[in-house]
Amino acid sequence: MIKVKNVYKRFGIKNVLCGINFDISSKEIVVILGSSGIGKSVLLKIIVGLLKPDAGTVEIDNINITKCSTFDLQRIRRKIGYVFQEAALFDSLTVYENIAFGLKMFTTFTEDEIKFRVIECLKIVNLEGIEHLKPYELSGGMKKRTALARAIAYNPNYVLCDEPTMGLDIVMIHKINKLIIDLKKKGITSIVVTHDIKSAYEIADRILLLYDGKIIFNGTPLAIKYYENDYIKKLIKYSQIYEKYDK
Amino acid sequence: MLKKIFKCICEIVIMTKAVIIYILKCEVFLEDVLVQMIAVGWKSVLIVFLSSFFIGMVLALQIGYASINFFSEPVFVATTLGFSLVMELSPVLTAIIITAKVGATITAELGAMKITEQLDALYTLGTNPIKYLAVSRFLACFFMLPILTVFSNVFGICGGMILSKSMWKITISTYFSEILSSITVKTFFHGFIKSFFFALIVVIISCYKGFNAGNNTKEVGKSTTNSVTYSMITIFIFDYFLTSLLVTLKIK
Repeated sequence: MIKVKNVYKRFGIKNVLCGINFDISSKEIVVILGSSGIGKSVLLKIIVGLLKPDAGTVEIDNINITKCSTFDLQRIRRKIGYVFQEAALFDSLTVYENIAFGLKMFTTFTEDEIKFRVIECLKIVNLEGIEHLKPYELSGGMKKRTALARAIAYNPNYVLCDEPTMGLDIVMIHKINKLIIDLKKKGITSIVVTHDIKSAYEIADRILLLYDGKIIFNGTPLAIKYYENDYIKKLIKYSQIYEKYDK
Repeated sequence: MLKKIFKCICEIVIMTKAVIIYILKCEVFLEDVLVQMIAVGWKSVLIVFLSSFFIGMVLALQIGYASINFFSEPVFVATTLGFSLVMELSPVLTAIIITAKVGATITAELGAMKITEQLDALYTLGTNPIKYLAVSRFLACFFMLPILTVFSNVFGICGGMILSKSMWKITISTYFSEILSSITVKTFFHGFIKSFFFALIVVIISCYKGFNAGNNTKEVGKSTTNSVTYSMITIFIFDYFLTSLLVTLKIK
Protein backbone atom coordinates (compact mmCIF):
# COMPACT_ATOMS: atom_id res chain seq x y z
CA MET A 1 0.00 0.00 0.00
CA ILE A 2 1.20 3.49 -0.87
CA LYS A 3 0.20 6.50 1.23
CA VAL A 4 1.05 10.02 0.10
CA LYS A 5 0.41 12.52 2.88
CA ASN A 6 0.46 16.30 2.53
CA VAL A 7 3.36 16.42 0.07
CA TYR A 8 4.77 19.79 -0.93
CA LYS A 9 7.47 20.43 -3.50
CA ARG A 10 8.82 23.67 -4.82
CA PHE A 11 11.46 24.47 -7.49
CA GLY A 12 12.78 27.99 -7.12
CA ILE A 13 9.76 30.26 -6.88
CA LYS A 14 7.40 27.74 -8.45
CA ASN A 15 5.20 25.67 -6.14
CA VAL A 16 4.82 22.42 -8.05
CA LEU A 17 3.01 20.31 -5.47
CA CYS A 18 0.90 21.94 -2.73
CA GLY A 19 -0.43 19.40 -0.27
CA ILE A 20 -0.93 16.15 -2.16
CA ASN A 21 -2.84 13.41 -0.35
CA PHE A 22 -3.91 10.00 -1.62
CA ASP A 23 -3.72 6.27 -0.86
CA ILE A 24 -3.22 3.42 -3.29
CA SER A 25 -4.33 -0.09 -2.40
CA SER A 26 -2.72 -3.24 -3.72
CA LYS A 27 -3.61 -4.61 -7.17
CA GLU A 28 -5.00 -1.26 -8.22
CA ILE A 29 -4.19 0.71 -11.37
CA VAL A 30 -4.13 4.39 -10.53
CA VAL A 31 -3.65 6.95 -13.26
CA ILE A 32 -2.30 10.38 -12.37
CA LEU A 33 -3.69 12.67 -15.01
CA GLY A 34 -2.85 16.26 -15.74
CA SER A 35 -1.56 18.58 -18.41
CA SER A 36 2.13 18.71 -19.38
CA GLY A 37 4.47 20.33 -16.87
CA ILE A 38 1.97 20.20 -14.01
CA GLY A 39 4.22 18.06 -11.75
CA LYS A 40 3.07 14.51 -12.43
CA SER A 41 6.60 13.18 -12.99
CA VAL A 42 7.83 15.07 -9.92
CA LEU A 43 5.15 13.33 -7.86
CA LEU A 44 6.16 9.94 -9.25
CA LYS A 45 9.84 10.62 -8.51
CA ILE A 46 8.93 11.58 -4.95
CA ILE A 47 7.03 8.31 -4.55
CA VAL A 48 10.07 6.28 -5.65
CA GLY A 49 12.44 8.41 -3.53
CA LEU A 50 14.38 10.02 -6.38
CA LEU A 51 13.27 13.44 -5.14
CA LYS A 52 12.73 14.53 -1.56
CA PRO A 53 9.55 16.45 -0.81
CA ASP A 54 9.90 19.82 0.94
CA ALA A 55 7.19 18.67 3.35
CA GLY A 56 4.95 15.65 3.80
CA THR A 57 5.54 11.93 3.77
CA VAL A 58 5.34 8.97 1.41
CA GLU A 59 4.75 5.56 2.97
CA ILE A 60 5.26 2.36 1.04
CA ASP A 61 4.18 -0.76 2.92
CA ASN A 62 4.18 1.31 6.13
CA ILE A 63 7.75 2.55 5.69
CA ASN A 64 8.20 6.29 5.43
CA ILE A 65 10.59 6.57 2.49
CA THR A 66 11.21 10.28 3.02
CA LYS A 67 12.93 9.58 6.32
CA CYS A 68 14.28 6.04 6.01
CA SER A 69 17.93 5.07 5.62
CA THR A 70 19.59 4.44 2.26
CA PHE A 71 19.58 0.72 3.05
CA ASP A 72 15.81 0.71 3.72
CA LEU A 73 15.21 2.81 0.63
CA GLN A 74 17.08 0.27 -1.49
CA ARG A 75 15.05 -2.51 0.12
CA ILE A 76 11.83 -0.67 -0.73
CA ARG A 77 12.98 -0.05 -4.29
CA ARG A 78 13.26 -3.79 -4.80
CA LYS A 79 9.49 -3.80 -4.59
CA ILE A 80 9.17 -1.11 -7.25
CA GLY A 81 9.67 -1.19 -11.00
CA TYR A 82 10.03 2.23 -12.58
CA VAL A 83 9.49 3.05 -16.24
CA PHE A 84 11.03 6.39 -17.15
CA GLN A 85 9.49 8.87 -19.55
CA GLU A 86 12.40 8.50 -22.00
CA ALA A 87 12.90 4.80 -21.10
CA ALA A 88 16.39 5.56 -19.59
CA LEU A 89 17.86 2.30 -20.85
CA PHE A 90 21.59 1.91 -20.18
CA ASP A 91 22.99 2.69 -23.60
CA SER A 92 26.26 0.84 -23.13
CA LEU A 93 24.39 -2.40 -22.37
CA THR A 94 22.36 -4.66 -24.65
CA VAL A 95 18.62 -5.21 -24.20
CA TYR A 96 19.42 -8.50 -22.42
CA GLU A 97 21.85 -6.83 -20.02
CA ASN A 98 19.40 -4.00 -19.36
CA ILE A 99 16.63 -6.41 -18.37
CA ALA A 100 19.01 -8.67 -16.45
CA PHE A 101 20.41 -5.72 -14.48
CA GLY A 102 17.73 -5.68 -11.77
CA LEU A 103 17.78 -9.47 -11.55
CA LYS A 104 21.53 -9.44 -10.89
CA MET A 105 21.10 -6.71 -8.27
CA PHE A 106 18.00 -7.93 -6.47
CA THR A 107 17.99 -11.71 -6.80
CA THR A 108 20.28 -14.67 -6.31
CA PHE A 109 19.27 -16.17 -9.66
CA THR A 110 21.79 -18.25 -11.56
CA GLU A 111 22.82 -17.16 -15.06
CA ASP A 112 20.40 -19.71 -16.57
CA GLU A 113 17.51 -18.50 -14.43
CA ILE A 114 18.29 -14.90 -15.39
CA LYS A 115 18.34 -15.85 -19.07
CA PHE A 116 15.01 -17.65 -18.72
CA ARG A 117 13.41 -14.67 -16.95
CA VAL A 118 14.77 -12.13 -19.47
CA ILE A 119 13.34 -14.13 -22.38
CA GLU A 120 10.05 -14.50 -20.49
CA CYS A 121 9.85 -10.72 -19.93
CA LEU A 122 10.65 -10.01 -23.56
CA LYS A 123 7.82 -12.38 -24.53
CA ILE A 124 5.44 -10.50 -22.23
CA VAL A 125 6.23 -7.24 -24.03
CA ASN A 126 6.23 -8.92 -27.46
CA LEU A 127 9.89 -8.28 -28.15
CA GLU A 128 11.36 -11.74 -28.52
CA GLY A 129 14.68 -12.02 -30.35
CA ILE A 130 16.07 -8.54 -29.69
CA GLU A 131 18.23 -9.45 -26.69
CA HIS A 132 21.47 -8.67 -28.50
CA LEU A 133 20.46 -5.18 -29.69
CA LYS A 134 21.69 -1.97 -28.10
CA PRO A 135 19.12 0.71 -27.10
CA TYR A 136 20.13 3.01 -30.00
CA GLU A 137 19.01 0.28 -32.41
CA LEU A 138 15.46 0.29 -31.01
CA SER A 139 12.44 2.36 -31.99
CA GLY A 140 10.63 4.55 -29.44
CA GLY A 141 7.96 1.92 -28.80
CA MET A 142 10.53 -0.85 -28.45
CA LYS A 143 12.48 1.24 -25.95
CA LYS A 144 9.36 1.85 -23.86
CA ARG A 145 8.48 -1.85 -23.89
CA THR A 146 12.08 -2.82 -23.04
CA ALA A 147 11.93 -0.37 -20.12
CA LEU A 148 8.69 -2.01 -19.01
CA ALA A 149 10.32 -5.45 -19.29
CA ARG A 150 13.24 -4.20 -17.17
CA ALA A 151 10.81 -2.84 -14.59
CA ILE A 152 8.83 -6.07 -14.22
CA ALA A 153 11.75 -8.51 -14.53
CA TYR A 154 12.37 -8.92 -10.80
CA ASN A 155 8.66 -9.32 -9.97
CA PRO A 156 8.07 -6.03 -8.17
CA ASN A 157 4.91 -5.38 -6.18
CA TYR A 158 4.52 -1.93 -7.69
CA VAL A 159 5.14 -0.61 -11.19
CA LEU A 160 5.42 3.13 -11.67
CA CYS A 161 5.16 4.30 -15.28
CA ASP A 162 5.99 7.84 -16.33
CA GLU A 163 4.17 8.65 -19.59
CA PRO A 164 4.48 5.09 -20.95
CA THR A 165 2.52 5.90 -24.11
CA MET A 166 3.90 9.33 -24.94
CA GLY A 167 4.88 9.76 -28.58
CA LEU A 168 3.67 6.34 -29.65
CA ASP A 169 1.17 5.41 -32.36
CA ILE A 170 -2.31 4.24 -31.42
CA VAL A 171 -1.56 0.53 -31.94
CA MET A 172 1.50 0.74 -29.72
CA ILE A 173 -0.43 2.74 -27.11
CA HIS A 174 -3.05 0.00 -26.98
CA LYS A 175 -0.34 -2.68 -26.65
CA ILE A 176 1.30 -0.91 -23.73
CA ASN A 177 -2.06 -0.28 -22.06
CA LYS A 178 -2.87 -3.96 -22.39
CA LEU A 179 0.45 -4.85 -20.79
CA ILE A 180 -0.34 -2.64 -17.80
CA ILE A 181 -3.78 -4.26 -17.44
CA ASP A 182 -2.11 -7.71 -17.60
CA LEU A 183 0.22 -6.68 -14.77
CA LYS A 184 -2.80 -6.16 -12.55
CA LYS A 185 -3.89 -9.74 -13.23
CA LYS A 186 -0.46 -10.81 -11.91
CA GLY A 187 -1.13 -8.91 -8.68
CA ILE A 188 0.99 -5.87 -9.46
CA THR A 189 -0.13 -2.42 -8.36
CA SER A 190 0.48 0.23 -11.01
CA ILE A 191 0.74 4.00 -10.90
CA VAL A 192 0.67 5.47 -14.36
CA VAL A 193 1.39 9.11 -15.06
CA THR A 194 -0.05 10.42 -18.29
CA HIS A 195 -1.71 13.38 -19.95
CA ASP A 196 -3.53 11.04 -22.33
CA ILE A 197 -7.09 10.75 -21.02
CA LYS A 198 -7.96 7.97 -23.48
CA SER A 199 -5.26 5.74 -22.02
CA ALA A 200 -6.43 6.71 -18.54
CA TYR A 201 -9.94 5.51 -19.36
CA GLU A 202 -8.62 2.30 -20.87
CA ILE A 203 -6.51 1.18 -17.93
CA ALA A 204 -7.48 3.03 -14.75
CA ASP A 205 -9.33 1.68 -11.75
CA ARG A 206 -8.99 5.14 -10.32
CA ILE A 207 -7.98 8.51 -11.72
CA LEU A 208 -6.23 11.28 -9.80
CA LEU A 209 -6.36 14.61 -11.54
CA LEU A 210 -3.48 16.93 -10.75
CA TYR A 211 -4.16 20.58 -11.33
CA ASP A 212 -2.38 23.64 -9.99
CA GLY A 213 -0.33 21.59 -7.54
CA LYS A 214 -3.34 19.83 -6.02
CA ILE A 215 -5.34 16.66 -6.61
CA ILE A 216 -8.69 18.09 -7.72
CA PHE A 217 -10.32 14.77 -8.55
CA ASN A 218 -9.89 11.30 -7.08
CA GLY A 219 -12.37 8.75 -8.42
CA THR A 220 -13.31 6.21 -11.05
CA PRO A 221 -13.05 6.83 -14.80
CA LEU A 222 -16.85 6.89 -15.01
CA ALA A 223 -17.21 9.39 -12.17
CA ILE A 224 -14.82 11.87 -13.77
CA LYS A 225 -17.32 12.38 -16.59
CA TYR A 226 -19.89 13.79 -14.18
CA TYR A 227 -17.48 15.78 -12.08
CA GLU A 228 -18.33 19.47 -12.26
CA ASN A 229 -15.10 21.18 -13.10
CA ASP A 230 -14.24 23.32 -16.13
CA TYR A 231 -10.79 21.85 -16.57
CA ILE A 232 -12.10 18.29 -16.54
CA LYS A 233 -14.90 19.17 -18.95
CA LYS A 234 -12.38 20.69 -21.36
CA LEU A 235 -10.06 17.71 -21.03
CA ILE A 236 -12.83 15.27 -21.81
CA LYS A 237 -14.27 17.37 -24.60
CA TYR A 238 -10.95 17.75 -26.41
CA SER A 239 -10.14 14.11 -26.20
CA GLN A 240 -13.60 13.18 -27.55
CA ILE A 241 -13.88 10.58 -24.86
CA TYR A 242 -17.64 10.98 -24.57
CA GLU A 243 -17.94 8.88 -27.68
CA LYS A 244 -16.77 5.73 -25.88
CA TYR A 245 -18.91 6.13 -22.76
CA ASP A 246 -22.08 7.34 -24.46
CA LYS A 247 -22.37 4.18 -26.49
CA MET B 1 32.32 31.88 -4.11
CA LEU B 2 34.18 30.48 -1.07
CA LYS B 3 30.98 28.78 0.06
CA LYS B 4 30.67 27.16 -3.37
CA ILE B 5 34.28 25.92 -3.32
CA PHE B 6 33.81 24.57 0.21
CA LYS B 7 30.61 22.77 -0.89
CA CYS B 8 32.47 21.27 -3.88
CA ILE B 9 35.31 20.04 -1.67
CA CYS B 10 32.83 18.51 0.79
CA GLU B 11 30.99 16.71 -2.01
CA ILE B 12 34.28 15.45 -3.48
CA VAL B 13 35.32 14.14 -0.05
CA ILE B 14 31.94 12.39 0.40
CA MET B 15 32.17 10.81 -3.07
CA THR B 16 35.77 9.67 -2.53
CA LYS B 17 34.89 8.26 0.88
CA ALA B 18 32.01 6.31 -0.67
CA VAL B 19 34.31 4.93 -3.39
CA ILE B 20 36.93 3.86 -0.83
CA ILE B 21 34.27 2.18 1.34
CA TYR B 22 32.93 0.21 -1.66
CA ILE B 23 36.48 -0.88 -2.53
CA LEU B 24 37.24 -1.91 1.06
CA LYS B 25 33.96 -3.85 1.20
CA CYS B 26 34.97 -5.52 -2.10
CA GLU B 27 31.74 -4.33 -3.69
CA VAL B 28 33.41 -4.02 -7.05
CA PHE B 29 32.15 -5.01 -10.53
CA LEU B 30 35.32 -6.77 -11.70
CA GLU B 31 34.16 -7.08 -15.31
CA ASP B 32 33.64 -3.31 -15.48
CA VAL B 33 37.04 -2.69 -13.89
CA LEU B 34 38.61 -4.76 -16.67
CA VAL B 35 36.68 -2.87 -19.35
CA GLN B 36 37.76 0.45 -17.86
CA MET B 37 41.38 -0.72 -17.53
CA ILE B 38 41.41 -1.49 -21.24
CA ALA B 39 39.86 1.91 -21.98
CA VAL B 40 42.30 3.78 -19.76
CA GLY B 41 45.42 1.69 -20.30
CA TRP B 42 45.55 -0.25 -23.52
CA LYS B 43 43.70 2.36 -25.59
CA SER B 44 46.04 5.11 -24.39
CA VAL B 45 49.33 3.30 -25.05
CA LEU B 46 49.71 4.61 -28.60
CA ILE B 47 49.14 8.24 -27.67
CA VAL B 48 51.50 7.90 -24.68
CA PHE B 49 54.08 6.27 -26.95
CA LEU B 50 53.93 9.05 -29.57
CA SER B 51 54.02 11.88 -27.03
CA SER B 52 56.78 10.39 -24.87
CA PHE B 53 58.91 9.26 -27.79
CA PHE B 54 58.96 12.72 -29.36
CA ILE B 55 59.39 14.47 -26.01
CA GLY B 56 62.42 12.22 -25.46
CA MET B 57 63.80 13.21 -28.85
CA VAL B 58 63.17 16.92 -28.26
CA LEU B 59 64.83 16.72 -24.84
CA ALA B 60 67.92 14.99 -26.27
CA LEU B 61 68.11 17.67 -28.97
CA GLN B 62 67.73 20.60 -26.54
CA ILE B 63 70.13 19.18 -23.94
CA GLY B 64 72.66 18.42 -26.66
CA TYR B 65 72.58 21.95 -28.03
CA ALA B 66 72.68 23.48 -24.55
CA SER B 67 75.70 21.37 -23.54
CA ILE B 68 77.51 22.26 -26.79
CA ASN B 69 77.02 25.92 -25.89
CA PHE B 70 78.57 25.38 -22.45
CA PHE B 71 81.08 22.56 -22.96
CA SER B 72 81.56 22.55 -26.75
CA GLU B 73 80.39 18.93 -26.91
CA PRO B 74 77.15 17.06 -26.12
CA VAL B 75 77.76 15.81 -22.58
CA PHE B 76 75.27 14.76 -19.91
CA VAL B 77 72.56 14.21 -22.57
CA ALA B 78 71.42 10.82 -21.29
CA THR B 79 71.87 11.75 -17.63
CA THR B 80 69.82 14.93 -17.83
CA LEU B 81 67.22 13.34 -20.09
CA GLY B 82 66.74 10.28 -17.88
CA PHE B 83 66.57 12.36 -14.75
CA SER B 84 64.04 14.88 -16.04
CA LEU B 85 61.88 12.27 -17.77
CA VAL B 86 61.62 9.82 -14.91
CA MET B 87 61.23 12.34 -12.11
CA GLU B 88 59.06 14.96 -13.72
CA LEU B 89 58.09 14.87 -17.36
CA SER B 90 56.70 11.36 -17.74
CA PRO B 91 54.35 11.46 -14.70
CA VAL B 92 53.05 14.93 -15.56
CA LEU B 93 52.83 14.35 -19.30
CA THR B 94 51.03 11.01 -18.88
CA ALA B 95 48.62 12.53 -16.37
CA ILE B 96 47.85 15.36 -18.79
CA ILE B 97 47.26 12.88 -21.63
CA ILE B 98 44.96 10.77 -19.45
CA THR B 99 43.13 13.90 -18.28
CA ALA B 100 42.46 14.97 -21.85
CA LYS B 101 41.61 11.53 -23.15
CA VAL B 102 40.12 9.56 -20.27
CA GLY B 103 39.03 12.29 -17.84
CA ALA B 104 37.04 14.08 -20.53
CA THR B 105 35.42 10.80 -21.58
CA ILE B 106 34.45 9.95 -17.99
CA THR B 107 32.82 13.36 -17.42
CA ALA B 108 31.01 13.31 -20.76
CA GLU B 109 29.77 9.73 -20.24
CA LEU B 110 28.49 10.32 -16.72
CA GLY B 111 27.00 13.68 -17.68
CA ALA B 112 25.17 12.14 -20.63
CA MET B 113 23.90 9.36 -18.36
CA LYS B 114 22.63 12.00 -15.97
CA ILE B 115 20.64 13.96 -18.56
CA THR B 116 19.13 10.77 -19.99
CA GLU B 117 18.01 9.72 -16.48
CA GLN B 118 20.26 6.63 -16.52
CA LEU B 119 21.70 7.60 -13.12
CA ASP B 120 18.14 7.77 -11.73
CA ALA B 121 17.46 4.41 -13.36
CA LEU B 122 20.41 2.96 -11.46
CA TYR B 123 18.95 4.25 -8.19
CA THR B 124 15.56 2.69 -8.96
CA LEU B 125 17.34 -0.59 -9.69
CA GLY B 126 18.86 -0.50 -6.21
CA THR B 127 22.36 0.48 -7.32
CA ASN B 128 24.31 3.51 -6.25
CA PRO B 129 25.87 5.12 -9.37
CA ILE B 130 29.06 5.71 -7.40
CA LYS B 131 29.33 1.98 -6.78
CA TYR B 132 28.48 0.97 -10.33
CA LEU B 133 30.21 3.73 -12.32
CA ALA B 134 32.82 5.50 -10.20
CA VAL B 135 34.50 2.54 -8.46
CA SER B 136 35.53 0.78 -11.68
CA ARG B 137 36.86 4.01 -13.23
CA PHE B 138 38.63 4.86 -9.98
CA LEU B 139 40.46 1.51 -9.84
CA ALA B 140 41.25 1.54 -13.56
CA CYS B 141 42.84 4.99 -13.43
CA PHE B 142 44.63 4.30 -10.16
CA PHE B 143 46.38 1.23 -11.54
CA MET B 144 46.77 2.12 -15.20
CA LEU B 145 48.17 5.64 -14.98
CA PRO B 146 51.32 4.56 -13.07
CA ILE B 147 51.79 1.70 -15.56
CA LEU B 148 51.45 4.16 -18.44
CA THR B 149 53.96 6.41 -16.69
CA VAL B 150 56.50 3.57 -16.66
CA PHE B 151 55.82 3.01 -20.38
CA SER B 152 56.26 6.74 -20.94
CA ASN B 153 59.66 6.57 -19.22
CA VAL B 154 60.74 3.74 -21.50
CA PHE B 155 59.38 5.35 -24.70
CA GLY B 156 60.93 8.72 -23.84
CA ILE B 157 64.32 7.17 -23.12
CA CYS B 158 64.12 5.24 -26.42
CA GLY B 159 63.25 8.44 -28.31
CA GLY B 160 66.20 10.18 -26.67
CA MET B 161 68.46 7.25 -27.51
CA ILE B 162 67.61 7.34 -31.22
CA LEU B 163 68.30 11.06 -31.43
CA SER B 164 71.45 10.86 -29.32
CA LYS B 165 72.83 8.15 -31.60
CA SER B 166 71.92 9.80 -34.90
CA MET B 167 72.60 13.44 -33.98
CA TRP B 168 75.22 13.40 -31.21
CA LYS B 169 76.89 10.10 -32.14
CA ILE B 170 76.52 8.74 -28.62
CA THR B 171 76.69 4.95 -28.67
CA ILE B 172 73.78 2.96 -27.31
CA SER B 173 75.91 1.34 -24.62
CA THR B 174 77.24 4.72 -23.44
CA TYR B 175 73.71 6.16 -23.49
CA PHE B 176 72.28 3.34 -21.38
CA SER B 177 75.17 3.21 -18.97
CA GLU B 178 74.66 6.94 -18.35
CA ILE B 179 70.92 6.43 -17.95
CA LEU B 180 71.38 3.54 -15.51
CA SER B 181 73.93 5.43 -13.46
CA SER B 182 71.66 8.48 -13.20
CA ILE B 183 68.35 6.74 -12.45
CA THR B 184 68.29 5.12 -9.03
CA VAL B 185 65.39 3.26 -7.44
CA LYS B 186 64.54 6.41 -5.50
CA THR B 187 64.57 8.51 -8.67
CA PHE B 188 62.18 6.05 -10.28
CA PHE B 189 59.87 6.01 -7.28
CA HIS B 190 59.84 9.81 -7.14
CA GLY B 191 57.92 9.90 -10.44
CA PHE B 192 56.06 6.65 -9.88
CA ILE B 193 54.57 7.75 -6.53
CA LYS B 194 53.48 11.05 -8.03
CA SER B 195 51.62 9.23 -10.81
CA PHE B 196 49.33 7.52 -8.25
CA PHE B 197 48.30 10.91 -6.86
CA PHE B 198 47.78 12.31 -10.35
CA ALA B 199 45.54 9.32 -11.16
CA LEU B 200 43.41 10.09 -8.12
CA ILE B 201 43.15 13.76 -9.10
CA VAL B 202 42.04 12.93 -12.66
CA VAL B 203 39.46 10.31 -11.74
CA ILE B 204 37.98 12.15 -8.74
CA ILE B 205 37.52 15.44 -10.60
CA SER B 206 36.20 13.73 -13.76
CA CYS B 207 33.65 11.62 -11.89
CA TYR B 208 32.57 14.54 -9.72
CA LYS B 209 32.04 16.84 -12.69
CA GLY B 210 30.17 14.07 -14.53
CA PHE B 211 27.80 13.30 -11.66
CA ASN B 212 27.20 17.00 -11.11
CA ALA B 213 26.78 18.06 -14.73
CA GLY B 214 23.81 20.28 -15.51
CA ASN B 215 20.61 19.00 -17.01
CA ASN B 216 21.25 19.78 -20.67
CA THR B 217 23.82 18.96 -23.34
CA LYS B 218 25.43 22.41 -23.17
CA GLU B 219 26.04 21.93 -19.45
CA VAL B 220 27.58 18.50 -20.09
CA GLY B 221 30.01 20.14 -22.54
CA LYS B 222 30.80 22.82 -19.99
CA SER B 223 31.35 20.21 -17.27
CA THR B 224 33.70 18.28 -19.55
CA THR B 225 35.77 21.38 -20.29
CA ASN B 226 35.84 22.31 -16.60
CA SER B 227 36.82 18.78 -15.64
CA VAL B 228 39.87 18.87 -17.94
CA THR B 229 40.84 22.40 -16.88
CA TYR B 230 40.50 21.78 -13.14
CA SER B 231 42.30 18.43 -13.36
CA MET B 232 45.26 19.97 -15.16
CA ILE B 233 45.54 22.90 -12.76
CA THR B 234 45.24 20.59 -9.74
CA ILE B 235 47.90 18.29 -11.19
CA PHE B 236 50.34 21.19 -11.57
CA ILE B 237 49.64 22.49 -8.06
CA PHE B 238 49.94 19.04 -6.47
CA ASP B 239 53.08 18.36 -8.51
CA TYR B 240 54.86 21.17 -6.69
CA PHE B 241 53.75 20.05 -3.24
CA LEU B 242 54.38 16.36 -3.93
CA THR B 243 57.85 17.10 -5.30
CA SER B 244 58.64 19.19 -2.21
CA LEU B 245 57.40 16.41 0.04
CA LEU B 246 59.25 13.64 -1.76
CA VAL B 247 62.49 15.65 -1.84
CA THR B 248 62.10 16.30 1.90
CA LEU B 249 61.60 12.57 2.41
CA LYS B 250 64.76 12.03 0.35
CA ILE B 251 62.95 10.11 -2.34
CA LYS B 252 64.88 11.73 -5.18
